[in-house]
This record gives sequence, structure tokens and C-alpha cells, in this order.
Amino acid sequence: MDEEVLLRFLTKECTSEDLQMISQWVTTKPENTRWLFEMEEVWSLKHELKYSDKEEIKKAYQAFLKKTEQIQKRRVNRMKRFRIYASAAAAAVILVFLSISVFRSVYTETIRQNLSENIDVNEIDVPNGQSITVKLSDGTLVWLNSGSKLIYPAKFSAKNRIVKLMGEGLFEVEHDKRSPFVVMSGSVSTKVLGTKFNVKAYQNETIRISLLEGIIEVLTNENEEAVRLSEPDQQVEIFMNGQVKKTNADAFAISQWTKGELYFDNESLENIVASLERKYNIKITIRNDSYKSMTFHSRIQKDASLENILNVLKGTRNIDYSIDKEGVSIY
Amino acid sequence: MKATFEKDINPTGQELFLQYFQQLYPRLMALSCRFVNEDVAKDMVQDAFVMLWEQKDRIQHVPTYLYKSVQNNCLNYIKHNHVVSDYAEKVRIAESRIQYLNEKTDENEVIKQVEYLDIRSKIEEALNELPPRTAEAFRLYFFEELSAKEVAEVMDISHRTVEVHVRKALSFLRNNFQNLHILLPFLFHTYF
Repeated sequence: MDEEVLLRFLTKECTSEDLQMISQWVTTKPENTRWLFEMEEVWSLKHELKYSDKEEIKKAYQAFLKKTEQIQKRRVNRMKRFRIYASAAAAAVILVFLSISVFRSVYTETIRQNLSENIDVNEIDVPNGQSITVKLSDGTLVWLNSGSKLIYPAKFSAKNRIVKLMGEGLFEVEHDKRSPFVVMSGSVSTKVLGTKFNVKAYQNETIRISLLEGIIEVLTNENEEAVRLSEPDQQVEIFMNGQVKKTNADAFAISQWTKGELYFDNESLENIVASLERKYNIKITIRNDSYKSMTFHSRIQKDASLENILNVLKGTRNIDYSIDKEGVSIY
Repeated sequence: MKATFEKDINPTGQELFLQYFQQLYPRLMALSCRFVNEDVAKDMVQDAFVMLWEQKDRIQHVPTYLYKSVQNNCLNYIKHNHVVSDYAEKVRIAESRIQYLNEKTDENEVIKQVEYLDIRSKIEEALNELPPRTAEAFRLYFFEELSAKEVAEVMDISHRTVEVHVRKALSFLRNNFQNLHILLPFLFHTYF
């Protein structure tokens, strides 16, 4: 094997030809395969060295502890809820209806008040082609995708934590029982109790809120009741016509845009194009109107270029594209 | 030091876990990084430890379990990336690697206990036996993480020569380490 290819293989920078060649190799020549993986093994000492560092191990262990804590919390919550349901079913139902309407009016009032109070408010605008992470005053982390805007107070009040989002954000909310965290996107509010969830609320697109961990409640102006998501992978979709639907989706895959990946879950070409425009900051026009509602289901690695992705779309359905200085045309 | 999850031994569950983590994390990361990029690799290893934690009373041999978990997590991750360029090739290479790793394990059945390895000094020792220019090129490429182009500039040689040096060093290290049983999947029973 050529040195160049070997090094590209080791540093994970293989071209398509490299991969084709290597793939053929490993299926037809066992001795050479062994050699290749043995070289890779020496190379892997580099990572072993890096991750032998005490700080790295400590960081990783902390992350592990956090994960297991969350799993335990979820289990305890599940048990608690079960006990409540089991004890007073009928009475609970009435109480729940009452409290929801009370909750709702108090809730919307509080939000209205809070946003008109004169507190120091920050606004972050993420342009197309970029994404950033913000840490709020309570320790909550927010990843913001291209073409998104987040409005939040410099310091949260003690009673509640309210932010406004237009676009897409992945939220990892610090747990605080006394102060519910609320994400407002237009007429939709997501109330959070310490958890991880993704809100996708771009203008003129279906709003999608996906739960990764914890519990959230989603309220819209149209709906009487809040939709409660309490199991990971549950999702709420709010369509442009106002319809609200509770569905399931791979929340982890959905959240991987924070790592540069793209995930289309039976997504229309129209929406895919909107995502690509934001991510690559380029204009994309669909020339054939009937294509707009074509759906695709795929998950794309972070290293993919715009052309890679367009080729994938091209290969999946019979569409073609061209790129010039104005942007991309699909026809 | 021997540590297991048997109930009659008494460090607490958490201390035990920390020990396993500290000892196995570097090797598992090295394994994981062969399949996927570093960020994903970290997640794969975390998932393996979480799965271990959830099943702890049922696991007989912890290193084996973690090793296989990481392999499976990585393969599933690659397989899940359905529409990506060269998808089939990537899957095939990953599966081939797993086959290679499994075969290697079967060979090394009875292994003596391996002392704590200072990887860096073992590599340096070996490098000292190489011609100085080869060793230098390798150090810059491997430890300093310069690109081949940058190494060429620093050493005032061609890009191609750098690649030849690196390959030569890798081959040498591989032969060297095999003799010393350094390159092994850690599935031997007396690892702890």
C-alpha cells in the first residue's frame, strides 16, 4: 500500500478512492489486512497516550457519573408517578383539569409580566453558516443552530427562568425545582424541569420539540392542555395549521446537529433545503415545484460537504442539481 | 491487585467502578478511536460504561464486556449512518477490523500479567534504535501532530520522504511491540 494512503487511513482522511481500495483489500487479502490493522494498532497508542492523562480520565468519569445520576433520577420519578396514579385516580383527574386551567392562566400572565419588566436582556443572533453554545446565568447550556436567535435575561429571576427562541436550540437545563425554565417560541412555550431537549422552531416551518432526558411540558395558545413529554424520544410537533401531534423520534439523532451532523426524519425536500441554506449559507432554489414535498430519511456525518449531500439526494430520488455563483439549483 | 464485582469483597460499588474506569478508559478510547472520530468515540465508551453499570451484577469479566460493548457501539454507529458517501465500504472496513481483533484475541490465550506501561517511554526507547531522521520525522508527526507537509518544511525534506519515514517507524514499532506483548487487546484474565 502506498504510504500516502496508509497515513490517510490512520488519520481518517481517506478519499473515496482510498476507501474503495481498502475495502476491497480487507475482503480479499488477509495478510495485508493484518498488516494494516497492526499499523493502526501502533497508531492507536497515540490515543491511548492522550486519554491516559489524569485530567481526561477525570473529565470522562464525571460525565459518566452525571449520566448515571440522570438515569437514576428518571427511575425515581417514574416510581413516584406510579404511586400517585395508583392511589387516587378519580379525584386526581378532576384536580388535574382544574389545576391545568389555573396553571395556564397564571403561567401566561407570569410570562407576559416577566418579559415586560425592565431587566437586562441579552440577544444572540446566529447567522447562517454558524452555530454557537451559550451558558446562561443559571448554568443552563444552549446550543444554537444556524439562523437562530435567543433572547434571555442577563440574570434569571428567582421565580422562573424565561427565554425566547426563534430557530433551533438544544437545551441542557440545570435542575431547579423552584424556578421552572420556559422556552418561548412564538405562541408555543416549553416548560422544563431540569433536563435535555431540542426545540426546532424556525419561521414558516413545523415546530418540533424533542425530549432527550427529563420531563417537559409544551403549551400552545390553541391548546387547552399542556402536552407532557416524560420519556426520552418523545416529541411534539406543531404544524403550521395549528395541529398538535405527539410522536416519537430519535432525539439523540435530532440533537446531533450540535456535533455538525444533519438528520432528516422523513423530512420534505423543502425543509431539507432550508436546513442546508442555513448550514452552508448558500441560496438553494427548487425549480420543480412538485419536488418540494419529496421526503427523505437520512443521517449525515459532520464531515459531509454540501456536494456530498446533494449527491446523496440525487442518488436517492431522480433529481439533479447544479451550482453556480448564484447558488444551487435543484431540478 | 485483583478486583471483581463479587458481593463478598468490599470496596463499595462506586470505588470499584472508578478503578475500572481509570484502568480501562485509555485502552477503550484507543479502541474506539480506530472506528470513529474522537468526539463520537467518547460517547461510545461512555455508553459502554453505562451499560456495564446497569448490568453490573450479571457481568463475569469486565474488560471483555467493555471491549465488546465498545466494538458493538461503534459498529452500530457506523451502520446507522445510512446515507453517507462510501457507506458500504466504511461498514465493511469496520467489520473487518472487528474480525481481526477477535482473531487476535483467540491467539493470545495465555498471557502473563502485563506491568503498567509507560507508553511514551516505551515508544521513545524503540525510536532510539531507529536512524535519527526517521525517529525525528515520526516524533513530529505522531506526538506533535504536525501534518506531513509541516514536517517536510521543518526538516527540509520532501513530503514523500516524510511519509516513508513514518511508515518505516510504524513498521519498526509494530515488530518491536509484538515481541514485548505490548500491543494486545486486554482480554487476559489477570489484567488486574
